[in-house]
Amino acid sequence: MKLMSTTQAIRHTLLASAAMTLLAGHAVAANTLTPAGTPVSNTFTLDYDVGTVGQPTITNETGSADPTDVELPAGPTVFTVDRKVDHILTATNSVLTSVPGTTATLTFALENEGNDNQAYSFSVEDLDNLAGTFDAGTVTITYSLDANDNDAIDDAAPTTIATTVVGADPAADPVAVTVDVPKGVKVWINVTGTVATTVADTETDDITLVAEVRNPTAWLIDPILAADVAVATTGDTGANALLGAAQNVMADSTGVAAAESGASSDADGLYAATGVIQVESPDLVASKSILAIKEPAIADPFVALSDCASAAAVANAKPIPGACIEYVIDIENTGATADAEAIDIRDTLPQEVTFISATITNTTTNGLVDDPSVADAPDPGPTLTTPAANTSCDGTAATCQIILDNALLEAGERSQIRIRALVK
Amino acid sequence: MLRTSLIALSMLTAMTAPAYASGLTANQAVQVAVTEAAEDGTFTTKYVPADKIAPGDELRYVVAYENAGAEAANNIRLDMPVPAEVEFVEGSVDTNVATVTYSIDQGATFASRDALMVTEQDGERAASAEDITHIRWSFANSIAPGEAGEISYRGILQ
Repeated sequence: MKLMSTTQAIRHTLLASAAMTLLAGHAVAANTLTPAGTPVSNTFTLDYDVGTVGQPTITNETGSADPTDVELPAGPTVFTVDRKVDHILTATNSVLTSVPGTTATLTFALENEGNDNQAYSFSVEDLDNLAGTFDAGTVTITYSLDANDNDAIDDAAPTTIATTVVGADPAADPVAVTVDVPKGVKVWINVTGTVATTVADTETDDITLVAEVRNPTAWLIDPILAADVAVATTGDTGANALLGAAQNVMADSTGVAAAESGASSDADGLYAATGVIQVESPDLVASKSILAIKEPAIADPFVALSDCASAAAVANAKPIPGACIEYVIDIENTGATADAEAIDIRDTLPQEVTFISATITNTTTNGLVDDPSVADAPDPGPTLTTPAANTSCDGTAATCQIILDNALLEAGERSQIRIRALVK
Repeated sequence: MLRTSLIALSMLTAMTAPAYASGLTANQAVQVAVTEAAEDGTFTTKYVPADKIAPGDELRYVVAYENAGAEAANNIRLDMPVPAEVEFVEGSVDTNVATVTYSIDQGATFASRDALMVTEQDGERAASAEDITHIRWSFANSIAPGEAGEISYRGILQ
């Protein structure tokens, strides 16, 4: 058993109380709607006098405590709370920029704002066919439940529910149905699709996710017949049913009409939201320049400088033998939004120089940063590999190559690799 | 002993007789608000016998009364609870015929709306609509034989 210091113990307690506060705070925002099927009862009592003589209380309560009360035969006024079928579907990254040759993931959130369990089926509609658009390939839908209601995707691995036929009618799609989603609980949905390498910059793909409400395996108060499970939930119409089982009241408003296969209307149990994949390539610009930093002292022209790594540039220095020079490799991502990932720059020094040092400098705030796609624990990138200082170069990569890798440059960022060397 | 019993019996008869012979009758109903859009773009809300009632709907509890007796009824007091699942709508009580008081303690005590205070660990606060558990109508006037009327309040199903 590991013993804790007092400070640690206090910190743990604080963390625990913070976590509890978070939970309590969330509970306030939770769905407190009266569950479907709940009977709501009400009564009244009426007292009066005739002249100065008190009369028996008139009431519609049953089993009144006072035997002189006049109980009305109708009994209490009771109604059953009906089932509010109400959900909200939103695209959580409504425009996603993606690089050609990658897989793009659009994310959606669907919350059960009704007062009973609900299940869903999902399908996608890919309706754009205008100029400047493309269609993502191999579209796949996965979902995961926010079972612990903490508004984060951390409960379980997503379940793949269907690989859909793009352009198909959602109502006619062969679909898998989700597990029961309790009232107030959110479902995270990922729609992934591949972006072909041939897709040009700025082309877009609008993908609409359609969720159709389905009967769950069990309603909260009245478990339904197994035969009704996964059937599309529809509104109840017709006779007044103040009592008895809860009736379905469809509370959705119009979704994306076209995606709802032309039959869109309020209260149809179909919900839709659209996410856009926009193709955007990074645009990496690189250049290399050379600058003489400092000449050796005139009195002793053939003794190399000892402060080449740190020397400040001297105006009008000439790259004479013994002089300190600097190669600058300048890289900039001039793209609009896309990261330049997996950057790999290799520079081999000529045989006329002796390698001294190499450093990364950033012109912009972030500059070169670690590429998260490279597994590099515990040392994050960018990684600069150099020969040992004072290596006499022979023009081969084996002896005198400087390598930058495990690096990423976000759009608009600019960095330099500065290599100092002495002229032989 | 016998005399005492006889007196007690006669008192009981005096008290109960009018209720059976004649007096007030009342019944309770629940209605739901339905908003209809007119062609001119205006909306009207009416209350209809409740059919589908889902959370968020506005309800109206109505008690209709009538004096079916031969004598005026006076000192009339009508109490109606607010169900736990329903939140009272402020200002929804008709106060023309009666003085209205409210309870936040299941009908044990009643007070006017602005005097309604909730006691908490760190002091008192004014009661909110959701604290109200009962509503009491204390009629100002007597109800003459044959006279009828109704009282109501509205609430939102939670």
